[in-house]
This record gives sequence, C-alpha cells and structure tokens, in this order.
Amino acid sequence: MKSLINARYWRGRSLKARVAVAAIAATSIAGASVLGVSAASAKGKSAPLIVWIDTARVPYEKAYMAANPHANVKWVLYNGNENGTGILQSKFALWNRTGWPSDAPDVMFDSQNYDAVQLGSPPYNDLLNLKSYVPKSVLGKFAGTSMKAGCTTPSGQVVCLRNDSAAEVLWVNPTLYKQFFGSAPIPTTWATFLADGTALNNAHPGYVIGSVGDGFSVDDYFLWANECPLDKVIGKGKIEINPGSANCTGITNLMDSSGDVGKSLSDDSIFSIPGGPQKIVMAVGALWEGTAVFQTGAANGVPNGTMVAYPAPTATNGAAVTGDLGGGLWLVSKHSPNKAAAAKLAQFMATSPKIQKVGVDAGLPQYVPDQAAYVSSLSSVFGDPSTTEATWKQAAAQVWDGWSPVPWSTDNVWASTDLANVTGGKPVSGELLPYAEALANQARLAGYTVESPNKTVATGG
Amino acid sequence: MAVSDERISARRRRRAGGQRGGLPAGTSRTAGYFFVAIYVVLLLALGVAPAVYAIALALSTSGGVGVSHFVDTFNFFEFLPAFEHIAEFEGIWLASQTVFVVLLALMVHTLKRRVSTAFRLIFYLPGAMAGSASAIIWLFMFTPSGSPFAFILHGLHYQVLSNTVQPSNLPIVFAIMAFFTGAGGWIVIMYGALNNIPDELIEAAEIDGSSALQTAVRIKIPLIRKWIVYMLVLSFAAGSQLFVEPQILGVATNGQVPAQWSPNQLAYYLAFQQDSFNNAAAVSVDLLVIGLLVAVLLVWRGRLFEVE
Repeated sequence: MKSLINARYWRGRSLKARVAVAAIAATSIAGASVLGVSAASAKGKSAPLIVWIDTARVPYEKAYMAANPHANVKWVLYNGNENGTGILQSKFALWNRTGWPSDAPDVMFDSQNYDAVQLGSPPYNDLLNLKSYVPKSVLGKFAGTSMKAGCTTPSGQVVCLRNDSAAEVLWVNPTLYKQFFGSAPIPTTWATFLADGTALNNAHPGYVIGSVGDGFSVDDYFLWANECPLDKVIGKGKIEINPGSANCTGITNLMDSSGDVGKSLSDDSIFSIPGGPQKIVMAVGALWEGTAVFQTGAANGVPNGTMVAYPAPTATNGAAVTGDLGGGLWLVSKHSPNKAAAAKLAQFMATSPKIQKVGVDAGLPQYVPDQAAYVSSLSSVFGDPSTTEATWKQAAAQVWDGWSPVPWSTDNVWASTDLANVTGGKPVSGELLPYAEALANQARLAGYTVESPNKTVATGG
Repeated sequence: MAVSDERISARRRRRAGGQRGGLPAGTSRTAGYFFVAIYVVLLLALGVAPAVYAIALALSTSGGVGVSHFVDTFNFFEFLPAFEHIAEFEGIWLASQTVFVVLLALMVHTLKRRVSTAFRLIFYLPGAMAGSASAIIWLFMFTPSGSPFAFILHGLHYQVLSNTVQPSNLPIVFAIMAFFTGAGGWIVIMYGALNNIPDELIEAAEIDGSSALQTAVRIKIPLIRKWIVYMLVLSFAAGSQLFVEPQILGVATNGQVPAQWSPNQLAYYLAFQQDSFNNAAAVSVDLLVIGLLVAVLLVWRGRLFEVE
C-alpha cells in the first residue's frame, strides 16, 4: 500500500521537477482556460468574422444580430482582458511566433485602456490602423481627447475606437448630503470636498466620501484628476515622471492634512464599504460607478432616482479637468483576412445608436452624436436628470490627456508599492516618490526613457 | 499479522536483491526497458527539448550567439528582488517544512496503527487543495473581515486584506500556503520510510536503554536522512518555480502582488506581456541552473545515490 502511494508521488513530483523551464509550460494556465466559445452563427460561404467580447457585452451581440440578422459573425466570450490577466498580450505573443491561426479574433472588445497602444506598438504591432478604414468624420466625433489619449500610438496610428466614457464626476447622494450639511453647496474644490470629509470624521463616523482602498483610488481619482505628471508620455518612447510637481504634492498634502484617509476616505474598497453603499455620502468616481458602486435599485443599494452627478472638484492648480477609470475599447486585428468588414463591425459597435443606447451599453457613449439620446433616457435611474446629464457630457470631454496609455498598469504599481502603506496609516504624500520610482522602473522595463528632475527617478538608482 | 508479514517479505525481497540476474531471463528485463523507454521519450519531449529550446532562445541575439539577454535581464530592476523573494520564501518554507514534517512523522510513527492512519489522513487533507484552489482558500483566510483566524489578523493590527498581504509579508504568506499544500504528502512518505526501519533495530536500541527521544534522534532520523534530502531536492525545485500562488493573489488583489514577484512570474511577464521570449528564456535558464546546482549539491552532500 505505502509503496503505491510513494510511486504515485514520485511520478507526479519528478515530472514537475523535470520541467524546470516551467516558465514556458506552466504559463499557459493563465491564458488557456479563460476562453469559451458562445453560439456561432456560421452561415454563408466565406469565413465568419470572429469577435471576442466579455460577458457584459453580450447584449451588444444580441443587438447587433437583431440589426444585421444575416451577418456571418462568430461570437466568442472571453474576460475582456480584465486587469492584470493580459490574455490578449499572451495570445498575440504566441501567435507572433507561431503564425496567426484561422480562429484568431478579427475584432475584440477590451476593457483596459492601456492595451490598445501597447498591442498596436512594437514589439507587438498587431492592431489595424483604422485611419484608412473608418471615415475621418466619424473619428472626429468622439468626445474630447478620448481618441488621442487612449487610441493613438506615439507614431500616430489610430488603433482602437472608444466604446463608453469612464470620465470621473462627483457622485452625490443628496439625501445624505442634506442630512449632514443642510443647504450647503456641493463642493467644487478638493479642499472643500476634503473638509466635508473631516466634518464627517468627527460628527458621523462610518459615513464616507470615497475610498483609498483600491489600487486605482489614489492614482485615478486624485493624482490623475489634478494633472500630476507621473504617467505623461512626451514623445516616442519618452515619459515624464515628476513626483515633485506641485500638481502632485498639492493634492496629497491636502489629503494628509484633512485627516480623512482611513476615516471618511475608507481603507476598504469603494465596492465594499462597511455598511454598504448607503454609507457613501459622495464619491469621486467614473460615470459607470453611478450604478455599479451604489447598486442603484438593488436590495442593498440606493433607490432609483437618488444619485446625482456633479462635476469633479477643480484641480488644485485651477484647471477644470478630471480623471478616468475604465471604459472599453474596440480593437481590430491587423492579421484579419477581412480587414474592411472587421473595421466596419467595430465602427458599428462603437457608434451605432442601435448599440450605444441605454439597455445595451452601460456607460455614456464616447461617440458624441449618440450621447443626447443616451442621457435623456437615464432619468429613471438618477436624480436631477438635467444636472446629471450636463455633468456627464462635460466630464466626457474634460479628461486630462496627460495620463497616457502605456504598456503597464499604473493601478497595479500603486497596489504593489503603496497601497499597503496608505491603508496601514502612512501619509499619502510620502508615497509619491516610491510610486514614481516604481513607475519609472516599469517604464524602463518597457523600453521608455524616463525624464525627471528627480535623479533617482530618472536613472533608477 | 499482515504488517509483519509484509515487512518480512519485504526484507526477503531486499535480501534477494543482489541476485537480479537469477530471475527468469529476458521477459522482465524487456519489460523494464520498455517502461524506461516510455519515460525517456516523455523526458526528452517534455523536459530536455524545452530546456534546449530555452537555452537556444536565450543565447540567440540579433548579432548571432551571445549572452546579452542574460546581461539585460540581470539589469532589470525586478530581477534581483525576484530572486531575493524566492530565496526568502524557500528559506522559511524549507526550514519549517523539514522540521515539522520530520517531527510529525516521528510522532505519528509512535502512535497505534489505527490512530496514526487517522492522523495521516488529516495531515494529508490540505494537500488535496493544491495550487490555484489553495491560493483562493488562503485568500479568504487572509482577509481580516472574513477569516476564521480574524482574531490573529486583528491582533497584528490588520484590518483589510491589503494589510495582510503587504510586500514584506509575502514570503511568509506563500510559505504558509506551500506548507499546508505539501507537508501532508511528505508526512505520509516519511512515515513509510520510518516503517522500513527493521523492528529489531528499534528493539535493540530500547533494550540498550535508549529513550524515545534518543531513538528518534540517533536511530530513526539518520536512517531516513536520504528521504529528507530527497524532500529538500524536490521541494527546492518546486519552490524556485513558484508561480500560481503569487499570480492568483496578484489578480485577486488587483496587482498588490507584483506581476514580477517570483523569477518564474518575471519570465512569464517578459514572454507574454512584453513579447520578449529571448529575455524570458534567459530568466528560465537562470532558474534551471540554480535548480540543478542545488540538486547536485544536495545529492552529493546528502549521498543520496549511495548504495549501502
């Protein structure tokens, strides 16, 4: 009996030990298991277009097939290249070595803003330049700088179309706000916003004005929205990282002196505030957070018609800008056998009012001609529809474009370098330099030259 | 009794071991070659060939053959920290595993048969949840708001998961995961090794007045030394390739465990997130060399292949 156990153990272990270059073998775990094929509608003679979407985009598939009942499209579900999984990066890297298979996707939905520029630039270079496939008049109608900021490579190629806007606004629960602050105006600066938090710390502990407990909280909500230059591509392969800028220190000093961090700026994730979304008096967050964070209409969420969007606080330097968190992209493969049809499908997804409407799409369309119809149908979900509508449109065009798409996730760097320190009670301002150094290291790893007045950041040591 | 019968027959077999040539000629030897051949084919296809391919990739540069990929990867800021992380992890894990596995196996070995079977099963159970499953269970255990061990975490002033998995804790966190995944299996193996010690030897020691402790330290441990070395060789190789746990914890915490925490993760990151297979191969070859060196050292110093 025991010898049998031993033998079995031997076999399992020795094989494992022998595959010492497991870097190549073991690594398919992350990539291989995520894909699942959904219903294919392969009629027609020519090969179908293959479209990869995430589960949240399944209504798009239905709407597309309703509008184009004879379309020859094969829909494949994947995780949308969810933060940190890098499915597209790993598949593309493999296919670039082995040749692109016939079942490689022609069109992909991607939930990561960083991906398009990385996948469209060397060494990948795998995305179609849409400049010659999508009319200029269409490309010019996306909100503000969104196409420039997320879809344009340093060499000037347009490698994606924006799906929905994820610009940040100040989400306010007016019922709670009135209860605690009476008729005081909604804060319009970071100083007054944080002062409200300080008042809550003392008078109503447990109620929050946001969170510092996610990898994306401090960098997206606070640093990006204050034009802090820690992720600013200033030319091909060149990035500016300046943690000493007053745009960075201004907001972090305000955060520290308010005493809100760990109290009314919760250490918990904004998605799991103790006591639920009804404890959030207000929070800076992306447009889509209005329903996602507050679980509007759900049993534990706020009732329909509660949340109102106000403009995010003005940056400490006075600029009317905001940050951005999420929002999807449509990518087209350069290796598609049918590039024109693939680009046409991507354009339909990103711009058609049959897709970009409430009930199909969960966020404000980046394509401006679709916005009016979209926001006017939101009145059942949010309170004060005219204010919310105006705020959304304004925010979508005010995202600061100095937080550039790069082939690394600034959120993940914050999470691994600084998050534990901040939730552990250390001052936020003390995290600027370590964060900048870690970002600079990532930049150098990806082949960027770092420009910074700070010598350690610029040289890496 | 079945046990003693088994032991006696095992001893007989061992005594007969020197006369293998006396077995019915031909058939068994052919079968032996056949089974070894299957293994050799698999070893070449899945072990040696990928290693050769990795070495070729690592050495091929734009200007022909060279070591530039090794130099480049060595200069990456993640390179040395990744190896430091893994060294710290292996130090904590191997030390605690060796001590506890040997200790628990010795203790179980002194128990009555039925009781010891129950204990071995209990020790083995956590090993059923290997790799990704254990990572997910431990993720729950390490979350102060949901863990059954919340009182310990709160005692350490950890309020949220990001406190528990702060960078300086990670080697311990992964060592705890690896310990509970692997220790049970090794206890079963050590127990088997202890069972192979002839009863006469133990009895003789007891008659000479050896206490239980002395028997354990002077008789039993030296006789299972090779198994301990064997455990170290395999565990070191497995530990140096740590990948699944930090990778899953990294995804689950939205990146709080960096994607380049362990050398194996760094290789994966370089190949599949940076499309740089040559650099990834260089890191893999580094790992291979370290694994081989440590294995050779342990086999040689532990006299693993010596026949008494």
